[in-house]
Amino acid sequence: MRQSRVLRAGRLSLRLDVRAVTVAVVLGLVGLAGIVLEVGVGEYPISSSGVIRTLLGLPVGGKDYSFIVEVLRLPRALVAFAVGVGLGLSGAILQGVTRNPLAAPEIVGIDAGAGLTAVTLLIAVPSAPASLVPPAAFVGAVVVAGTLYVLAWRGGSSPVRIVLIGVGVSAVANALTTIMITYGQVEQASEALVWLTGSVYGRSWEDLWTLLPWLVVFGSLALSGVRPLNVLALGDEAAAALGVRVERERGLLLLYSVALSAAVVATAGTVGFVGLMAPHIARRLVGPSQGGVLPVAAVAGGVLVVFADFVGRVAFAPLELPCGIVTAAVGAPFFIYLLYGSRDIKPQQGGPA
Amino acid sequence: MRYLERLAGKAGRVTKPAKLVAERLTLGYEGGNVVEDLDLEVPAGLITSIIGPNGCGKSTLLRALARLMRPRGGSVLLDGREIHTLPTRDVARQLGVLPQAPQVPEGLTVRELAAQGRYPHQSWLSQWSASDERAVEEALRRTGMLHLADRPLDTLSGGQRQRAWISMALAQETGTLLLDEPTTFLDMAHQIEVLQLLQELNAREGHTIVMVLHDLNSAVWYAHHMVVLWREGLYAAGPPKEVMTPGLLRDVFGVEGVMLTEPRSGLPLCVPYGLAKGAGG
Repeated sequence: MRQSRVLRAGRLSLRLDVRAVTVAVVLGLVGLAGIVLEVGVGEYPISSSGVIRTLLGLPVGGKDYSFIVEVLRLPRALVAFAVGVGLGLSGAILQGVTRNPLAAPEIVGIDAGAGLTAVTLLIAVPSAPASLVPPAAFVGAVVVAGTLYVLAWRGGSSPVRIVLIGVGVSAVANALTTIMITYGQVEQASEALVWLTGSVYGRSWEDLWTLLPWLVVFGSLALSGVRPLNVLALGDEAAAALGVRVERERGLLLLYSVALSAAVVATAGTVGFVGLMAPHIARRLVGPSQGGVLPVAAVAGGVLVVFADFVGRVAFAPLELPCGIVTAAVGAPFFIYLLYGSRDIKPQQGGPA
Repeated sequence: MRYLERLAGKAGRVTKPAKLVAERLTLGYEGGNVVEDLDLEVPAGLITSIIGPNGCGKSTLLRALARLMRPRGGSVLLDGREIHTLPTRDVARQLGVLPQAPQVPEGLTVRELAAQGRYPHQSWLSQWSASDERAVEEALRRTGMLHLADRPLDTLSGGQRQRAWISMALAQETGTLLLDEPTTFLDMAHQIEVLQLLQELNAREGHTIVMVLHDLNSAVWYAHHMVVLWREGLYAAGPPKEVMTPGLLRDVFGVEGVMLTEPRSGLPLCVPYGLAKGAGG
């Protein structure tokens, strides 16, 4: 394989894709730089060296930035990164399972489901505490994903049906959300709209600690499902012939993807297009092998959201744009570019050799 | 099946192919049954070609033999055990399958594809053992794909791509290969390239090969055993010389024609003249 290192000891053998590891490390450093930049900006700007020194616990010329850095800004930056990691992974799994480079959590309706329940709660029950919004969003995402899987099942699941029905389900959920907003009170409606755009504004350590276990658990499960994911890419029949229990593996992988994006949406609202873009960036950098795509897409997603949030805060300061608007501003043209480019996708069978 | 034993004796005996048998097999889709009460024995260590008109259930039969579809009645037996009761992975260690329209992820290289053939031999703790590596190299060498190993599949010709898929099936190290129309979409030279490769594999290593083919003459020349299906089920099974008759052309394909004898090999050569009277459509 492309520059892979194999670790063997007795019956144990693990394979590492050298290039993917290198790319992930480099992207990780970029992400780290982004986090430092992001922590530095705000009403009270702090230089990068000041941020780094504060983080390392070193004195910064007699000033004490630790409250600003550690309480106010660092958790937000880390939540942004974590959100991106979850979206990148979720999108990479989804694109792999559906064998569709245009699939993403927001396109098959997972985000729309979360949005519908969250907005319904915000508008129909204005007295509900804000802490109820994330669990409501989570439930919505999972319910929509379940509905989608059931509707797409016809004696077996089919990747194409999952995507097509997902687009339909997404449209219905979005329409219902719009109705809720139209009939809601102005204050609640604008709160709902901000939530829908996706933002990491004001996120705290608590938000990070809530999100992290989901990322760790379902992220590791996803990474352990890389081998069947690779084989599923060859088509259901070829995968079954190679010994993959197709429905079981596909169902599990979809579950991981849904859990990851549901946890993210519950934390930050619907930050769009990251789940779509990150896997493409990863494939461009490390090729189609899922063992490389998944980790690299995760880190790339983190980098995207951190920089989106940074740009959102700097571009029109002191006005702050939610990171979801920035990712959409980049992601929507990217989506069109993908659709445009897909004209060139050659049929895999037939045609002159 | 005396002639089969004789032929199998000649074939190399490197691999130990499993015995594949269909008993009173009934297969169908939502619309109805395609194959009913079919009895079939795949001769081990030989090449079998399956022919028949469109919609007669050739591919369906192959899929059932490969455990890719569940029969409505009867059973497929692999070494005497019902194939659907066996774990997917165990079957994948004995049967290699080339589906009709396999998909290739963009940018996947020949070596990466061949490596997927090791899936049934791997586990989470044994992701890439020395024997995996050997099997893949060996498979690429036998299909003559070593020099193209690092090329993405989407840059290869149809024949090379088909050889890449065969190398994946070989890396799987199964004694039996099931192929659904391996030569469709290929021009004449590429068809011969693929069929000769299969013939060599069988001659050198004794793989059991079952392939669905459209071209009758290829089905005759590259197989020891022929299975002819038609709308009423099994029409005939046996050595190509005995199976191929003008009557078969008329009954099965609705075509009027003659069987000549090809002078070099003495094998039947099918020449169709036109549609049989009362046939067509």
